[in-house]
Amino acid sequence: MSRLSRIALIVAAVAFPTAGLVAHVRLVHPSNGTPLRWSNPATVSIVINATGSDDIADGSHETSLRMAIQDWNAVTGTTATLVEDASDVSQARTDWSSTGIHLIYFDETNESGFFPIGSSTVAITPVWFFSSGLIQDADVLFNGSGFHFTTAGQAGRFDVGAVGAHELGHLLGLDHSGAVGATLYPYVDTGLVLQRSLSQDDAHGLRDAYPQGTWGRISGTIVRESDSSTVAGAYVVARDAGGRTAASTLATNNGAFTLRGLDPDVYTVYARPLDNPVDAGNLGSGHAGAETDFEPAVYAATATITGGETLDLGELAVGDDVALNLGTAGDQFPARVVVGQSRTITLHGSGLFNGSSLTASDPDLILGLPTWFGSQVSFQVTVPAGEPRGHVDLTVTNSAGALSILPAALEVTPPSPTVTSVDPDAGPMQGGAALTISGTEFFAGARIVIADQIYTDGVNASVVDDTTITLTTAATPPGTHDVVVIDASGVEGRLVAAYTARSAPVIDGVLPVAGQASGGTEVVLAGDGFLDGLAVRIDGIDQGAVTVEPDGTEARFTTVGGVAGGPYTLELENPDGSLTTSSFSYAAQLDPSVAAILPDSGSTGGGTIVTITGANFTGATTVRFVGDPGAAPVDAASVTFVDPGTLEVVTPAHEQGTVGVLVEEPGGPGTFVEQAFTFSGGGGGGGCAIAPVPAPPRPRAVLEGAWWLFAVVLLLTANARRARAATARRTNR
Amino acid sequence: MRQLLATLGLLVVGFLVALLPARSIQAGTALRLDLGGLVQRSELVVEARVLSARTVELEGWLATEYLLEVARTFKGAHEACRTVRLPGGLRADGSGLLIPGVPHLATGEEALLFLEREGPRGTRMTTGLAQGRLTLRRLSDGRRQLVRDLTSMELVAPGSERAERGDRSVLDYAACLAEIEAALNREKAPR
Repeated sequence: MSRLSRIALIVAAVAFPTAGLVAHVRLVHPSNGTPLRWSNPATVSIVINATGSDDIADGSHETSLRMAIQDWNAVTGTTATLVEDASDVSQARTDWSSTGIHLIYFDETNESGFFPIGSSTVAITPVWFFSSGLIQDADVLFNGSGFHFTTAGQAGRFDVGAVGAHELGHLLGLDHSGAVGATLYPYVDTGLVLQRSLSQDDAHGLRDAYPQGTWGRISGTIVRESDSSTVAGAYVVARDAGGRTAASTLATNNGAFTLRGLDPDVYTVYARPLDNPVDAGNLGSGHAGAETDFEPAVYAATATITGGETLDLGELAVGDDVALNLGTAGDQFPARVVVGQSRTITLHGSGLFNGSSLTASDPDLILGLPTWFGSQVSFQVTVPAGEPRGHVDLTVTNSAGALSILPAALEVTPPSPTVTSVDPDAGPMQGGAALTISGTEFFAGARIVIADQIYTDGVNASVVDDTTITLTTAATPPGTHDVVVIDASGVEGRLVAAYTARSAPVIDGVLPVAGQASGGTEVVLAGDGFLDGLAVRIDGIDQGAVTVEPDGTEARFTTVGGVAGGPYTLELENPDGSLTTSSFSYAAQLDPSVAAILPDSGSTGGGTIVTITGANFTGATTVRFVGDPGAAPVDAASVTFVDPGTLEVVTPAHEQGTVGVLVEEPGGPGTFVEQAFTFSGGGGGGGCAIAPVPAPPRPRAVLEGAWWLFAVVLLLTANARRARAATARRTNR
Repeated sequence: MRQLLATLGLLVVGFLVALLPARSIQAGTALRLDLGGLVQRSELVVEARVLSARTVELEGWLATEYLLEVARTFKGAHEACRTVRLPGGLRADGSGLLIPGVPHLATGEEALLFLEREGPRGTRMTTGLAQGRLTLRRLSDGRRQLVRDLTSMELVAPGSERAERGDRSVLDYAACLAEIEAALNREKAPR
């Protein structure tokens, strides 16, 4: 390198100051180093686009991403909360580039321009910020045009939940973590689900960014053993008394560090270079300047945090760089080790020769004798029963005493759950079914996913023991669904097609409830869950064609008739076999029929006189106004029987809107006319004829209008004209 | 001796390449790529020096426009001087756009850049996000190396050299070039 270009590079280094290297690894302003953060962390809105991935037809991307949101929101000691806007309007939006929405969006056509053909980018999170470091906008974009995604563990596809949890971390202002078991570790493989669940390091990162309450702090300074100069950007890690990786940070450019947001515990703190598998190339440009040419070192003294105190550990002297490294980006992290099981693991690196030793930070883990190959090491790990979840560091010490520490190398998890049965295996789509899920490896904190519903232990589900979970279903989309039990570590057990949400129809109203025995009564069914192909039977007799509204809340059919009497069983059956029943009667007398209702509108205060013309009315005929076919009808204020073809009705007070009119005989047949009368806020009266067959107005009705005076005038005029004509005829004779 | 070193270098790179899985991803989130994969997924591969960098606004988006002095073009049309726009940048008022994983190039930096196709706003992504930029380091003995990040280079004082670390972040320049040429030849070879 020429002297000039080297100087240029040094200048460039100065241009990207490291003063902003603060606790945890945060996204920082590229120029002034200020950590990027939301000004209103308690209400960071987020919207999951409903369309999702074209690889996932059942919309389960929403469920997976919703769980990722839940995981970030479950972090304690932080004000940060992702608030999902799940309104249909917002979820239909695709304008991810608008500042007014923070959208999780699958870009299936490269409309963003970030994913050209052949792109190797799977997902990104563009973060807009102000000079103050406040985040203005951020969105998560999945490259749906170039990659395949899954929520069901399909081979060769990226897990939506794992990628989503990672990107949401960026959206919240976190950069990549050097802890290889963290969700914000930069690398993940297809099929890997462990990054769905947050590590302690991720949680501490969020707590550090948006603290709530008082937590412990550990501070110190990293210096070189050789000349006591400070080490910029050292990666500093704390692990708890159980040997679990707890939190990490980057030292500032003067070697100082502060680990924040620590729970009460006894911590061991060490520093290592941020060079492998994660290096500064994985971080934003604001982190340039980290020094990596030193040997890891561990503080001799532990730090005991009892509350919200700050402990200063003083200086930690690190030695010169060593040709020893454990772990590379080519290794798959986190390396999962299962409680009660043994596993052989191979990790790559350099300087991994005979004479070295390998230890785990949790001494309960049993490491077999490693086999050293120089550039890799193989060893067996056995996790005793009862070990808690979490991440464990691995340390290699070579024959010369040099160290390499790989933070959060192993992730201890329970065995994956298995789901063996669900009882009952079907229930109504409206929910309310009490399910017992049987299987193995069910533990506290488990979540259960059935279709688009997430059930959480202790909230709306209960892990009874390690083989039994109980829950009561919420409203579930009709169809057959997998039942998935997801452990807090992210591993899952799935029973395919284990539960069917039946589209059991629900009847809220039958209008009318009786019809003429000869048939031909038009009946409106109100309720929910009516599907195309709905069959209706009265007393076992199929009623023929049924029309179902697209939203499944109304159905109509015309009776075929039967023997006068009843009530008979009215049975509804959806195509999937789900049934419900109500009742219907047949009457010997004919249905009242309605030809016209005039006027067809009136005041919400009631009192409008309405004339109903038709046939088959009696002195007992009742009239009721029905705002919604499933709602309680409101009786007319009065009904006057004029003749079998005429009723005079005074409307009741009724809320504004257009309603149906039910004309029926008590205990007998009836007729329901939909959308027949409008209650409005004004004085009422007037309107257009809406009855099925307009009938000529009767004299009384004609006189009710204010224009009856005009009619009188016309009549008088006509009489006068006739008189004049008669006079003229007489005169002509 | 030189031949032996070159052979050893090739072996090292080949070994490293063989160790790299092709299905890992990096976040942002990108496929984990070896050199062959980087070549294959790039439309443009150049060795260049960054002459200048400026932020430009493109249809409401921010990008950093780099003026490159191109020493060598491995893939794509050669231009001795070309501009490349990477998404993300900083306005004069200090506001800006950051995309975690997209590298920022320093003025004066010499680098091997693997770039994807140009997008609709004239921006390109580095192939594999941060993986698509290997910074060139010249040692005092004339050898050249490629490093994945600037960390060790930026703090080197003029006239001094830190010890070589020999880790995966530092690759032998000649060996990398041989691997890139081999990948290009594989692309050209009839199937």
